[in-house]
This record gives sequence, structure tokens and C-alpha cells, in this order.
Amino acid sequence: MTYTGQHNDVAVRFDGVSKSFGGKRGRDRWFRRTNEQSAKLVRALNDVSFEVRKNEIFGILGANGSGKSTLVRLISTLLITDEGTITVFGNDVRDDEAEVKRLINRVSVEASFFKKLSPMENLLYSSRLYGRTGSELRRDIKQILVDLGIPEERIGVPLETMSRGMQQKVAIARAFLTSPVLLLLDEPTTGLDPRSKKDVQRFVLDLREKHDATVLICSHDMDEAERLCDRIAIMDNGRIVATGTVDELKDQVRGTQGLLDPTLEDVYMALTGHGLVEEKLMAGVA
Amino acid sequence: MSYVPTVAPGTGSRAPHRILARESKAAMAFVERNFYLTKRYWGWEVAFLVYTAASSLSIMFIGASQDGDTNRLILFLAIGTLVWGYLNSVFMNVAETVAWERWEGTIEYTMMAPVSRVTHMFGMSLFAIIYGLIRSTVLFLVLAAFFPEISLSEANLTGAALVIAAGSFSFIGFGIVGAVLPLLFPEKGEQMTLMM
Ligand SMILES: Nc1ncnc2c1ncn2[C@@H]1O[C@H](COP(=O)(O)OP(=O)(O)OP(=O)(O)O)[C@@H](O)[C@H]1O
Ligand SMILES: [Mg+2]
Repeated sequence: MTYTGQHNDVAVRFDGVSKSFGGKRGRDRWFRRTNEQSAKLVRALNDVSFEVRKNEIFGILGANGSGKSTLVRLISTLLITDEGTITVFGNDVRDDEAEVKRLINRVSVEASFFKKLSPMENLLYSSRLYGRTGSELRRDIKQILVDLGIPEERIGVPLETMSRGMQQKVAIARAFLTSPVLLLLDEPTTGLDPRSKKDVQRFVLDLREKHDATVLICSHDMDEAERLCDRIAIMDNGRIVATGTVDELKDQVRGTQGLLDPTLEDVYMALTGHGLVEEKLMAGVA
Repeated sequence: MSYVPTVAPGTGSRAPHRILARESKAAMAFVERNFYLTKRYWGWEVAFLVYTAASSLSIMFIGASQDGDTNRLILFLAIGTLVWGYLNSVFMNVAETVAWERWEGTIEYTMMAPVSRVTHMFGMSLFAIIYGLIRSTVLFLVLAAFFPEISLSEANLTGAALVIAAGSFSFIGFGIVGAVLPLLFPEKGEQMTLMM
């Protein structure tokens, strides 16, 4: 057996990835801005390396601004790395962009739809972009929306009349309809009521079971992370400070700071030196 | 849980005819979506059409108020305003491609879909042409109702088609430049869309 260094059970690999915003690069250089004029450099990701294994549900826990969404956007080919490489099932996100795009889909906090169009119209459009056509598409859209708890009579009316939680469910349907091999979830259940949260979590587990999907999920929600994730990376200030299963992470801090039976919250506090919830409150509605 | 996705995307085939089939489906997605949007914004469509008809008519009434045989002049003006209205709508539709989606917040989802930018622009241009032609036909009927003397019975249809085709191409070109401009500042666009 030869070891090539590239496991074929690796879904996502980050290798020394850094990404900054602002500063004297790109556009600022064109416009010859002076130091004072150029925006302050924000290092959103700082030398990040990790691997997500195939068929795994991998969680990323981090406070506001720690770089979670930036990480997801880099995988989605919406941003380009400054340094390092990212591969999705062995495809480099820069060199094999088209291939990567076919493998992924994403759900983010903001639903992002054509607000005047109905869920059906929005989902027809987004599914067709992934090559889906035919009469079974309409049937599937209806089925998945009903499964997610959207009343059938709302499927044809403009999305702007729906609550945020319902819109979020349509966003989840959008991603699921394209059966992504890698599903990127950026705080998918933020703003959902407990029941809807459960529905969505059940769907995520289902997608993994039945379709061999790999899921990367960013969250503030410790319970959700603990319930869903096989492994978790804790992110702080653009860096990954720890990776492991929930138990491994707990073991890592057990005994320190008098923690005998640490919760995930305790783990987070111990490893980053600050809380997740308090900071979220202070940051307000981001 | 009864929903089970039926299509696994897997790896896309790279055979040319497969790529062509896939991309043309995607191009139709843009056309279909834009017709849905037009349908939902029909109030604006009507308002805009009335406005265009009114300005076209006022130009033609100026023509009609001239001395002598005004029929030729009116026809001339009618065609002028129609062609201009058509090209203007083609340009606007294509140029707004990016700005519109940014406003709706859907741009990231369109950009991360497995669709080439060429296909995106092609789909938008195709819609712009179909939409422009329908709109111009309606406008022509409105104008013809006010000026029964304009008639297309002697029209040089081939010539007209050539002018429209040539005009469409150049206006689509301008439109694409307009649409792409905001993309030259992608990171700024990011800021505008999702600062979470
Ligand atoms: N397009 C951008 N332009 C400039 N700065 C950005 C941009 N996107 C993100 N940032 C900055 O990068 C850092 C990381 O942001 P990111 O959105 O990745 O955080 P996050 O972990 O997703 O936070 P949240 O929990 O609030 O969603 C922040 O300091 C943010 O201000
Ligand atoms: Mg975020």
C-alpha cells in the first residue's frame, strides 16, 4: 500500500490558508492611496489548516468576526486566497473552479432570494443553474418545502410575505435540491424556532446518511454543534485553536481551571480566553 | 421524511455536447427567471410602457403638426422611437444584470453556481432581445392605434431585421461593459452584500 499523502477520504483540505481584507493591496494600489487613506488591514484568516473527511459533519465554532463566513466563501470560490491552498475532493478551488462548483452548495444566514418571486420560482431558477429540469423538478420542490413545514398554499406566493424562518427553510431547500456532495452551512438555523431547528438538523443528518454528503457547518450554537458534529474546529480571530471530537476537546481542557466535567461552552472559553455568547450580545445583531 | 433528491450531481462530463446542453439549460434558467420577475413587476412594466408610449406619441404629434405630407415623417419618427426604445431596453436589461442581483442579494448564489459567465451573459442577452421585441410590438400597436396611417405593408422587413440585429449586438456589448464594471471591484461588492 502506497501512502501518497493525499487520503482519498478527504473532502476538504485547507493548507496554510490566509486571507486579508483592505490594506494596501489590489485596488488601493491602483488608486495610489496613501497610508492614511487605505483601509486598515483585517486578517480574516491566518494560516488555517485542517481536513474534513468524507461523509463527516464538521463544525466550526467561533465568535462574530472570527472568520467563519470568509472560510466558507473561500470554499465556494467567491473569494480567492492570499496564501495557501484549498482542495475539495482533490480539486483545487482556484484551478478546478468549475468542478468544485458542481460539487458544493451553501446555506448562509441571510436567505438571499428574489423577494418578489415565489419559493417555487426561486427554486426553479436556482435548481436549473445546476442542470436540473423536467417535471419531477417541480414535484421535488413542492415535496421538500412541505417536508420542511412550509404550507402548500405559500409555495406560489412572493417570498417577501414570509417570515425569516420560513425564508431560511427555502434557502435550505435550495441547497438540498442540488444534492451537493459537500454542503456548506453558515449558521443555517440562526433565527429558527426550536422545532424548525430540529427539522433542519434532521434534514442535515438525512442528507449525510442517504446521499453520502459531507457537511461543513459554522455555528454559534453549542448544542447544535454537539448534536450534529462528528468533529469540531474552534476558531478565534482567524486562527483554528483546536480541532477534535467533542470528547477530545473536553479532554483537552479537563482538569485545567478547575474544570472537572467541562461543557462545550467551557471548552470554548478555556481555549479562546473569552465567551461566545457574551460577545455575541455585545456585538449586537451582526 | 419522504423527500429524496433524485439527481446526484457527481462529476460533470466534459464532452463538448454535454457541456453545451448543460450551459444552454442554464441560459434558459436566466430567461425563465427574468420572465417571472417581469410578471411580478407587471405594474412597473405597464407604467414604463405608458411612459414610453407617451413620449413616442408626443414626438409623432410634433411630426404630425408639420406642414405638407406628414405621413412619411410620422412613419420615420415612429420607427425611430421604436428602434430606440427597443435598443434602450436591451441595453438596460443587460447592464442591470449584476446590479439587480446585488440589490436582491442573490449574486453570491448565482456566482457560485456551476455556470460560466459567458452563459450568464448569453442568457441575459437572450431575455433582453425577446423582451425587447415583445415590448416593441406592443408599443407599435399602441402607436398604430393613434396613427392608423402608419402601416408596415410596404416595409422592408429584411432591412429592419438587419438594423435591429446589428443594433442589438452593439447595445448588448455596451450593456455587458456596464454590467461588468461593478465586478471590477468584487471585494467592494462583497462588503455591500454580506457583512456578517
Ligand atoms: N468583504 C469584506 N471586506 C472587508 N472585511 C471583511 C469582509 N468580509 C469579512 N471581513 C472581515 O473579516 C473578518 C471575519 O469576518 P467573517 O464574516 O468571516 O466572520 P464570521 O466568523 O463569519 O462572523 P459572524 O459570526 O458575525 O458571521 C471580520 O473582521 C470582518 O470584518
Ligand atoms: Mg458569518
